[in-house]
This record gives sequence, structure tokens and C-alpha cells, in this order.
Amino acid sequence: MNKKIIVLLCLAFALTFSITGIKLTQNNFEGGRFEVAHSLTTSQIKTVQTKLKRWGYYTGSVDGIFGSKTREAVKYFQRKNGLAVDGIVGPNTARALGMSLTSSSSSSSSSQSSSDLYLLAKCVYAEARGEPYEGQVAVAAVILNRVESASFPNTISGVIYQPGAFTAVSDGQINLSPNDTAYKAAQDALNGWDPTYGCLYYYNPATATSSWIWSRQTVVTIGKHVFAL
Amino acid sequence: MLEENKQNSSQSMLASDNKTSKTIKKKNRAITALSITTALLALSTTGLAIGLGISEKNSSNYQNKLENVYQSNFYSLLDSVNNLDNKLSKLNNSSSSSYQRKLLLEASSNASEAEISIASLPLSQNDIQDTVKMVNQISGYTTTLADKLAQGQSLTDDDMQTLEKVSQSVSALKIQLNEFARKLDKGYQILDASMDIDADGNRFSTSFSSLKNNDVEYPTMIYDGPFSDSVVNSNIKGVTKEKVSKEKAQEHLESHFKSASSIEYVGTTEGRFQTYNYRVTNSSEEKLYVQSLQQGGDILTISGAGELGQASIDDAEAKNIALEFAKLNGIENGQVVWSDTIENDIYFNIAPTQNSIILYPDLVKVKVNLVSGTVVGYDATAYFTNHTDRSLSKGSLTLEEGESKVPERFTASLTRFALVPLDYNREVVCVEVQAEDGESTFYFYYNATSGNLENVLKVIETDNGNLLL
Repeated sequence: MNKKIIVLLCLAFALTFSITGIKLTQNNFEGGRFEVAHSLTTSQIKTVQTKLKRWGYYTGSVDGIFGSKTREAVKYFQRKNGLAVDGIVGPNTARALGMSLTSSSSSSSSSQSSSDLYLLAKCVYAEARGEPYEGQVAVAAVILNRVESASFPNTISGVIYQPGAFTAVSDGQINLSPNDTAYKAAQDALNGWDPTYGCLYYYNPATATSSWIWSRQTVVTIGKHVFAL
Repeated sequence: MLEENKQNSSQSMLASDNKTSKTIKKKNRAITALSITTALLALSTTGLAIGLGISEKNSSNYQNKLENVYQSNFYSLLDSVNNLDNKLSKLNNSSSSSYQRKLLLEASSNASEAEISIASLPLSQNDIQDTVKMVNQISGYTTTLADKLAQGQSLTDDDMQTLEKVSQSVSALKIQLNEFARKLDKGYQILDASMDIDADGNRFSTSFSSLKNNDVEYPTMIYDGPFSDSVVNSNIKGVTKEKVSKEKAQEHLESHFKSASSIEYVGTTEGRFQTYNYRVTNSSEEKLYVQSLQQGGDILTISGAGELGQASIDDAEAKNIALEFAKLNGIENGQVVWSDTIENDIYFNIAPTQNSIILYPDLVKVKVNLVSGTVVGYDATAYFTNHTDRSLSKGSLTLEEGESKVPERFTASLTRFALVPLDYNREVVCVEVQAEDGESTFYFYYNATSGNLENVLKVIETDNGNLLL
């Protein structure tokens, strides 16, 4: 009887708190991201990450997001360099890193382009992380071709967040952190690489559900994706 | 006796009491357990119910919020299209060029607002692409006409006729949108509409499919500007050689990757360019995807990620590797005009030169990995799109004259001749002057024939390299 009570108790608690529990963890996560976004610009965070990575303090991806990995790397750097270990890039830590925190007039435009890069990398990672490198460049290129095309929105964010355009955006995978490869692929596409030479669509023939996509002129197959005009 | 009996009986009662109290205790325990269980169950059920209630309420909250966003987008679409319609019908009835120009610029911004609103509605691309294309082209077309007026020209009869047709299409679109707005007034929800599923299982709104081209006639707008068909369909000038076999193209490829550990043919590309595609594993075990032109077998594109790690070569060595590779691929007298280092890769933009004129339209891009010291990326699409035998003359403007045209506060640091691509389909020989004003670096382009200023670029220094804007 006692055992049963305990089991029931556990069940009851588990059931009651499962819903609120999930919400709590989500909120914590968002809170963590918010706090740092105010202190450093994305491009500054990327500079910090690049430097820490080069010197072996940081192993994550250079994504411009000050997450827990970056904070740990900053703390590690601070410990090794006799600085106050708080995980925050203040003036002293910045000086030790060899960077300046005062943003010049040019930083706004460069950080704008790097946020585009980050968004593009996120979409590439969410849509094509299992694909070969050129397949990832091709997905990024399709997004950029859509930006150029008259039939699609005219900004990277407009194309990526167009309702229903990308499954990985609809199901939330877009919020995963991109890896180095997705980053490089996005960078290559922004620099003009396009293995599809102007394609506007791609689909996986094994899973594609909409019929009209099949009527498009196919151009090239890379990995699992068919790219089409 | 009686007493005894009594005692006896009381004793026996005590004994039996003992027994019953044990059962009662057991029963009590069971009841307590049962009531605790019931209480807990009730609690957890209430908890669940509350939780579900909250999540249900949340989800309907989210639904309302989303619906509101969609409706707000729809109503701004309606506003932009109504405004666009007004401007276009006014245009058809005005003759003053300054007023026409004002209307054209307003129409252009109404059209781009409309595009943003349409694209944020939950509609399938198949349904909206013609409408998006139309408003994008209206935006580009009206801007081009406004530029024409700014240059002192006037609108031709052809322009006015096209504008009239555009105006009719926009009116038709406006009527359909207003019909849908009346549905919304009666409580119809865009979210419901977006969940309609057609026979093929596509999610799309039948109510919105009026945006498809069945009912609205789309006029052809011929102009050289953003989103025009003439720019999209510009022909490829640089691919002129005879078609070769994939074996022949592979032989050519092998001559570029002599120490490659494997080269494997993986298929073709049949689009704007026709290529044979190969997967090459180079001497550093980097996997590259190479696309060689079916006509002639020249390398068109190499895509590769490059290694991460400790750099083994410096920028100067990388530059030589890039220039050597470009030369091997037929880029004559290549000059590095821009470079950018990103982590372990360095990108070089290399322009060929002809009579010491830099040919910007014919740029190739080479990506060299600093770890392996090999070429891991190459892009010659611009070269093969634009390259052709040009007879270039330097015009009447000398380098010194060009330099003297730069505003006084600048100091020129580099002056040279360059062929510059201008507004989509035009190439002009210019005197390029690189000049500093103490803070920033600028590039000025003076037309070598007329001496007019054609373009100004500002260099934005980034963490990695220079960005030209």
C-alpha cells in the first residue's frame, strides 16, 4: 500500500509539474540570451569568440551569441590571465583580449551584415545539416537567389520567415545554433558562390509533398536535394 | 457467579475487542490510504486540468495574437494597394513632369510596402508569386521612370500605355482584396483560411488564390532596373567553346589537381550554366565539389569548406597561390582587387586587366585555406557571364585630370583605369581614384569619356577585411 502511494505521489507530481516545468526551462534560456545581448554587439561577441578559439580557450562555433560555452571560455581566459573571473567582457578583459569595446561609426553596418550571416547560417544548419558542404552552400544560395528574385521578398529575413517557405522554420529547428560548416557555407554564398546557378527551389524527392514543385525545371541534384528553377 | 460471569464476559469482550480493534485499525489505515490516494488523484487531476486549461488558454492566446498579426498585415496590404491604385490613376491624368516624378516615387514605395505585406501572409508561394513579382516590378519600373524624369527626359507614349495597363491590374487586385476584407469583417479568420487543404495536400487559401494570375492580367514592364526580366534573363557572353565529353573535362580537371587522391564524376548541372560535376579529394584530403563547363571543360565553380587549425602559410603566400590558380584558368594579368580573411580561409577577388584597364565585370573569386595552403573555392561565374573580346579605349580623361576632380578634402592614394559595370547592363571605362579624407577611404569613378562622376564607393573596415558600400 505504501509503495503504491509513493508511486501515485510521484505520478501526480510529475503530471502536475510537467507542463509548467517545460515553460520554466524555456524562460531561463531566453533570459540568459537577453542579458548579454545588451552589453556586446554580435560582431564584438564574434571577435571575442574568434580570439578565444584561436588561443585554445573556446571550442564552440563563432556564432556571435554569448552562450554558456562562451562565458566559460571567457572565465577560463580570465583565470589564466590573472583577471577578475566573472565571465563578463569588461574593459580589462577586452584590453587583455586586444580589442576595444568602443564601437566605431562603421560597426553598425558591419554588424548588420553579420546578423544576416548568422540568420543565413541558422537556416542552412536547420535545413541541410546532414548534407555535403556544397549542398549547404546551395541552400544558402537559393535563399539569396530568392532575395534577388522579383517573385520573392527582398530581404534575407523576409525570405527565411516567409510563412510556410521552409519546414525548418515552421517547426522551430531554425533556432538551433549553427555549426562551423553551416557558417562557412553561408559565408561562401554571401561571397557569391552558387553551385545551382540561380535556382529558387529545392526539395527532397523522398519527402516532398506539394505536387507543383515537381513541375519546376530541375537543375542539379546535390546530396538528397533536387535544386530547381 | 453473575459477577464472575460478567467479568468473564467482559474479559471475552475485551478479547474480542482486541480482535476487532485490529481489524478496525487495518480498515482505518486502508481508508486513510484510500482517501490520501483519492485526494492526491483529485489534486493531480485538478492540477492537470488547470495546467491544460492554462495551456489551452495560452494556445488560444497565441492563436489570437497570430491572427491579429496576419490581419494587420492584410490591412496594410490593402492600404498599400489602395494607395498604389490612387497614385497610378493620378499619373495617367497628369502632365507636369515634377508631379509625375513625385507620384512615381510614391507609387514605388507603396508597391514595395505591398510586397512586404503579401509575403508575411500565410499563403503558398505558388499562389502569391505572380502578385509579388508584379508589385516588385512595379516598384522597379516606377523608380526607373522617376530616374528618367530626374535626368530631364519625359515619359513616352509607350511608358504611359504601360502605366495604364499596370494601373488596370492594380485596380483588379484592389477589388479582390476588398472582397476578402469584407469576409474578414464578418468574422472570417486568415488562420482558418491558411489551414484549408487542397486535393494535393497543399496548404493554401482558396479565398486567397484570387491572387493567382487567373483573374489579374500582368502587364510586361520593359526596363533596365531592379527585378526586370531583361536583367534576370541576361545572356551568357563568355561561354563560347565547343561542347566536350565528361572524360575530356575530367582530364582537364586532373591537370589542375595533379596530386588529388580521387576524382569522381557525380552528375551534371542543367541550368543557366551546363556543367559536369565532380567530387575531388585533394592532396590534403579536403573534399571539393567541382563544376566544369560542358562547353570547353573550364572550371566554373569549386565549393569546399577548408580545414580548421593552425595556419601553415601567410597571406602573401596565399595571394600567390590564388593568382597562380587564376592564371592557370585563363585569367590574364590578374590583379587582386579585394581580399577578406575569415577564420582559416582567405578570399581573393581577382580581376583580369587589358591595356592596363582593370576589368571589374570579369572578376573571379579564389578561396585559399591557410591551414592546408590549397585552393578550396573558386567562382568564375561572373567571368563567364561577362567576358568577351572588348575593344577598350581609355577615352579623353587622363589619370591626372581624374585625380584633380576629387573633392578638395580628399588625398588621392591610387589612380588607375577600370572598366566598371553600371546600372545592370552597361559597362563604362572610368578613372578610378582611391582617396582618403583622414577618416575613411572612398573610391571615385569618373567616366573616362565624359568626365562625369559615375559612382562613389565607401570602404567600411570590418574585423576581417574591407567591405565596399
